[in-house]
Amino acid sequence: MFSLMVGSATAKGNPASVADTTENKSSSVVLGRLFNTTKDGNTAAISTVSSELIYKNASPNLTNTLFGYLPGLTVKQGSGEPGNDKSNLLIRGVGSYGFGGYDVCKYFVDGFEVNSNYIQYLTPAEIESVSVLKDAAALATFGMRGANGVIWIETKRGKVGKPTVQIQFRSGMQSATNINKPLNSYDFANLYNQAISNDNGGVWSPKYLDADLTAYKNGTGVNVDWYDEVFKNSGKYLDGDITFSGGNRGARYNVVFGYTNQDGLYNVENGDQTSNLNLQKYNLRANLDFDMLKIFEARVDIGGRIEENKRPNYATSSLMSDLATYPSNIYNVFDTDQNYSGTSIYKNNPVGSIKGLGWYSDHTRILQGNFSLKEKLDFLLSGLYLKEAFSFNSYTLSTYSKTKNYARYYNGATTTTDQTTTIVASGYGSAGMEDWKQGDITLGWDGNFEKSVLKSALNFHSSDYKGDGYFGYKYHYLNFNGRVNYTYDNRYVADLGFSYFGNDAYAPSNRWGFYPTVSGAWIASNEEFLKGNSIIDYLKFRASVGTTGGSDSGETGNLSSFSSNGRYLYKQYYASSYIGSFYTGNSSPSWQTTLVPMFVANEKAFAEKSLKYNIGAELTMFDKLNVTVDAFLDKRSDILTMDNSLMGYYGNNYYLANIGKMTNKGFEISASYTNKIGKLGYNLNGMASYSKNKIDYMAEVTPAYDYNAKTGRAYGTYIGLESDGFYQTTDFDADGNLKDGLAVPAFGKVQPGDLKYKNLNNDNIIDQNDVTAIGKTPYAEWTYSFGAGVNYCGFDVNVMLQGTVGSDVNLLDNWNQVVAFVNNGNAYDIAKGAWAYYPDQNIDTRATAKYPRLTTKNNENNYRSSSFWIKSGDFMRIRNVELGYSFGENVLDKCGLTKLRIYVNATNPLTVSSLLKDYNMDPEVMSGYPALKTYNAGISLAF
Amino acid sequence: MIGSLGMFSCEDYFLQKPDTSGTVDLDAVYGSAKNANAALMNCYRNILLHGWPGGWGVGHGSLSSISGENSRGYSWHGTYKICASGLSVNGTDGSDGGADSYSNNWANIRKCFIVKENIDKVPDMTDEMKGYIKAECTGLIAYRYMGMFYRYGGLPIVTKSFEATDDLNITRSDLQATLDYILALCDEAIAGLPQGKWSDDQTGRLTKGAVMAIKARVLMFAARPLFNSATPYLDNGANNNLICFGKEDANRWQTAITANEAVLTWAGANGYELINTGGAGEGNANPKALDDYGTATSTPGNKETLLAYKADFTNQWTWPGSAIFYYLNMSNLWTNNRWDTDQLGLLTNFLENYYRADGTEQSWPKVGDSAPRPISDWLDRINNMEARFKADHIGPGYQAANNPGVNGWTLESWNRSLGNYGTAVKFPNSYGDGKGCGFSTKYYYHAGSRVWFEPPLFRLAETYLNLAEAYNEANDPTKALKNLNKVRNRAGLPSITVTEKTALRKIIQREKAIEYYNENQRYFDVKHWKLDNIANGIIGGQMREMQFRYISGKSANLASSLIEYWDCNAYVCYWNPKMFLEPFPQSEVDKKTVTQNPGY
Repeated sequence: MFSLMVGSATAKGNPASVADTTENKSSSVVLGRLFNTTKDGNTAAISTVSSELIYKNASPNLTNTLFGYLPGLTVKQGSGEPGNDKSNLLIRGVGSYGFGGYDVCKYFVDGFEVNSNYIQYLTPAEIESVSVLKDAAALATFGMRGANGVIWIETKRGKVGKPTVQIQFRSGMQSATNINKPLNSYDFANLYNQAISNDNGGVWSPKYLDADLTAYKNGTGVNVDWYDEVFKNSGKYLDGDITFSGGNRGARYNVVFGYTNQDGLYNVENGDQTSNLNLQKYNLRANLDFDMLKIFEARVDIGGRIEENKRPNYATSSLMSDLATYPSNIYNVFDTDQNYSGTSIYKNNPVGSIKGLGWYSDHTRILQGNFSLKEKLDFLLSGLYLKEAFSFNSYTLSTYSKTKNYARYYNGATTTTDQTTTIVASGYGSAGMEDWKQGDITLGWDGNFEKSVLKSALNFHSSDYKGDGYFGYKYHYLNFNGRVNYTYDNRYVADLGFSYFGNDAYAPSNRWGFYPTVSGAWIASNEEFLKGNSIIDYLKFRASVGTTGGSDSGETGNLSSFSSNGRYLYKQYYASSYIGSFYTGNSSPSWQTTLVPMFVANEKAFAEKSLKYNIGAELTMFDKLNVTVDAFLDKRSDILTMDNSLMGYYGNNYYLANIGKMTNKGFEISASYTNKIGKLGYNLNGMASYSKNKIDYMAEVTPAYDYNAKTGRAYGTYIGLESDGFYQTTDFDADGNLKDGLAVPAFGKVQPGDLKYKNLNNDNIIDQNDVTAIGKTPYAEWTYSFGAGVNYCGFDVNVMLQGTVGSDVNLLDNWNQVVAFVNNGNAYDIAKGAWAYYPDQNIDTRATAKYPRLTTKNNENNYRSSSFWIKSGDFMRIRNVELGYSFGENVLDKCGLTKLRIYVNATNPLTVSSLLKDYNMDPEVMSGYPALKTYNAGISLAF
Repeated sequence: MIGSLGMFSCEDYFLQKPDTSGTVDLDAVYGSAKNANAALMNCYRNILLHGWPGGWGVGHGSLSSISGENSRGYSWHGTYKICASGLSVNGTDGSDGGADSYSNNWANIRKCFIVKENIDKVPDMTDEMKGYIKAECTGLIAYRYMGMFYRYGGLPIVTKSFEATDDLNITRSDLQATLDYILALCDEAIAGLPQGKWSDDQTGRLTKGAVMAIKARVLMFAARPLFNSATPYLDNGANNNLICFGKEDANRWQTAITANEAVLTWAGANGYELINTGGAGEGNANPKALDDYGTATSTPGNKETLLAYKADFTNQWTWPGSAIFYYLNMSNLWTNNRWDTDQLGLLTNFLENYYRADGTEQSWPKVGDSAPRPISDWLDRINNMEARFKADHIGPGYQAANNPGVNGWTLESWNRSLGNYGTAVKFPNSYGDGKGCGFSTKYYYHAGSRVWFEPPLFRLAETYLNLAEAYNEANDPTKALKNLNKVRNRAGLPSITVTEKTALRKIIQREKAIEYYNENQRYFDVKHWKLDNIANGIIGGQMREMQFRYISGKSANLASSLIEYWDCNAYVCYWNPKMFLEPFPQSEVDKKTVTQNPGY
């Protein structure tokens, strides 16, 4: 059998991903649950990337390293705030609205389930590979954990050989990809005058008089760039790790220690009284293998980590909101006598927030320990084995802070009740914990008979999770599952899998689901007619179909006091009424408890079901070109849904049932080309993923008009009014009323310069009956990447670009930067395009306006969801570019090294996007703490 | 494998029932009398709040702001929007349609049915008590149906708590069938409730008398001209029978008389009576009118009130539980978000309903007067007003009569403007609107610093006024006057002697307006009476508010600061005949089972 596996492994090429082209060692094995298969034997859609590649995207957060390497995985960058910088992940688009959006996939590390908290700060040095399991064949044994795909991570293990040490170190600086700054005081004041005049019936009535404006212009007026006061240009970054590896047949080890230190961008010292944003992370992992008595194989893995986050004692989100909304002219940083300025409206001086309040820190401690023992039972039957495994995973978060406060002054007097205090230390307190234990028993049999190869396993997996949370803190599941993989003559493969999955979320009579899968493959290139073909080296076709389940649901979020993630809906629960009590009694009425049903119980509530189809092909030509193609169809049914179609007189709309349906389909293609001309080696690679979904049924109340509906459209489709330019002065009569024949908006009185909308139902009223799809969704239809690498005489250059196409954003989601002046807000460049007509002031933008007329009041007409505010979210970034030099053997031998490479690397150096160009907004992180670009120099060596 | 089978057998242990806290399941609720009682109390809590602030659809304000009693509130108040553009099928300010929360009605009716259907399971409760509770649930369902009946007309008839799998295709029944169903619910409840009163510590629960009053009120609305007519207020085609009975039937007044007389009989036998302690005798003005009217509307557990809503929240920050007090107590004793009630002043339109203390008409300034009037005129006229005005209002320059000297209820401590004030001479222009002629002090007679009150749901004054109205319509002016004067005399006014039907009808309607100011009745009464001028200053049309000029630099609320006053057009309210009944929410109509009322 062993020889057969080696035989099949000689087939060239790449099992699933372009990423593997530089990583030959894993190309012969396709990872999977229960057992790995050979490249030939694989029937599933799985993409894999090695840790060496993701290391090139420099970030402390593992999720920020996955851009562009894994076809079928969409990664949307999050903020760059140290310790809070997780990306949003999505496998094959949105498959279900029941738990819609990003981060709905499941994570497994070394065969045991973990959560995103656990994976986000793993260090690439401890990881062997990251895989995305996408189709029914890959997800066959996951039962109710599989519907939204799985990210499968394996950590590095020791290999037989002499002890090696590998050291990696890199350091550099990080800065914001982009900051959208508000207007200076002069521009702000000019536009404010327009806004206030617009609110005064179009009569010019400036708040800022010429003297004020002159002062702003010549620099004598208050004009503070709050971003400049709070941010510095760059923060420092460093990470390093050291790996010890080696062993013999009896015992092998791989031990990794990693350290990361990342500073934030605040212009503040780290000290006893103040602190910048800072993340320090310590990773330690020891993976040990023991072979004993030719029967036993044991694995002992310990992976631990400490994360220490520090920040000024003011929430980052609040500070970012203050920076965005505090105009430049409100006050100087300091009032007289070095007292921080502050007013009752603009209470939190941004500089005071980072320097005057002390600091806050939290400490995360995570420990995962896995133990497994395999007994090879060849004495009973050749190839038979039994394996038991146990895992614990513990997470603890604690907080510590030192706090003070400062008095706010304006014109020499205090303006709030805040007093300046000296710094006080808090207690060191717990802020949450999780505990996860899992057990695993596998009975497996590998056999081969002449041309047949068989791998099979039956497994029982139990999972016991306890965490924080009121209604959902305890998750138990049991999973009986198994898989058979049969290869005939290296040409035909059949794979059968199943999961019989029990979940404590559902009624005792209704908590088990059965999920079968079947898949097959045909290796055409091993047929006689293609063997020895000079063009096609490898050609394989795959197909799979099967079911998985999904037991999470966001729909219970609609129950005001029972956010249970779709759990426990089978029993009728009551709560002590949250709306009050009733009193009885005559002279001194007494309080009577009241109890209220929280929802209508549904004994049949169950997990949603995913029926997945996949076809794929793998091709190698000329020994140089690898192409992998997959197409999929995911039919989702039984989505747990609030049944809005029940009539009102049913008496309770809080009824959830498995009635929703959705369809998601798409494809992935990836290709790589590797060649060498003389000493010059080069490679080109690219990938693209496409997905598009449709809500088939979601119990939506039939809207007044078909075009209003969400059903039939993609999840997250923007619905709103269709913008139709601006109202012009000619649209109004002498009294300021809209002329006859023009549809009247139901959102308050309009005036020239307000947004005009299309009246879709021709009823002369613009209202909710005129809403329709006004854009795509926030989820990109296309994710693509392409890259190239060249190496010559020890030098290497690599570049990778990644982007998305087919998503939209609603500018109003970034209210602070878009809606000028409302609620004492700020104004940005976008407001300069406002419609305005004051001929006496030489202001006339009627023909060129790109923004509705300014106002200081809430304007329900202009600032509501409409196509006016929907913009394309498409973008392309250079994710990483790296220039390196590897020293040759003559140098290495002198130093006693086996590898020495130095390099410089840039992550996220350049972004191309219309949002950036037109609105100065980063396409992925439009508001809040900015996304980061990083410039590092690094060294890696081994001996 | 053996191991895994072992694990399988302990599935019951591992996949056990949820380990949640803070919740109780259905079995536990009906496993003890204490919990079952709590479920019943939730029904009381929610059912009886219907129509009151916090218990109707609109998030801010009270019905008085859309029935021409008080000003419309702030621009974010649902009442303001309804004044501006009428009732909307999409609701406003938190309602799901019109000025109601339609779905909330049914959610609470469902809760009553669940208690009724499960109460028999309770082990530690007597059969007698189970019977009472079933009758209470039935009576509470009737109460909510009553409210929907006069809001919407014909309704879907729901007779149990539905399962989702039931056939839910229940269309609206016609008006007569809806009426019959409510009467049947009432009769069932009356039969099952205990004889007499509840024990003292259970006061507040439904009595036979309270359900009789539900029945009596329902029959009044069935007899009034909006429903009791051959032609509907708007043609509704084949569905006219959902909004009108199809013929005018004088017998409906007789039925109403019987039901109201039954309430009086029960009340008399059980110690309830119209409060009149002045001892002046039948037909004479009551010298203790202020005290008696104040007690009847304000004192918890008084003997005129058949049923009150008892939710005596003392925490001003409990929302929406406290909304009922929040929008009806504008004194300085209420401190949470007090400014939100700053635009709910008494309209001139309604002020003109009140009599002088001697029963004659008061002469107020009119829009179009040639000059403003001196403030002495205002203070004199206020001083001459009838007791009910004094009990119910505080305003520019005049103290509240309800809590003399109590800090928080006086002009000195009011701490915000009681009128539309200004210092520059602008007559006849407006200084602003929202504050009208002052603010309501109703419900707080001799309440001291107590911020809660018990909203009276059925007071015997209503029964007498119902009888006055019904006897007049049934061409029995003698009995009509007898009942009318009971209420008038108690209020300190001389007897009425007019016997001409139309004139007497107007007097009775005016009496109801005064007696029930700010008490959640006028919004429905004026529609069902189909008043001629409903579009001209009652619900729709021009609303007017007094304006006051005062001496610059002084405290405007005090009499000594005021100079002159005049009436002024404040704002115009929208009216359309479709608003005689409320719209069903568009989201409900879209489900294509319930037909919308005409005009929406």
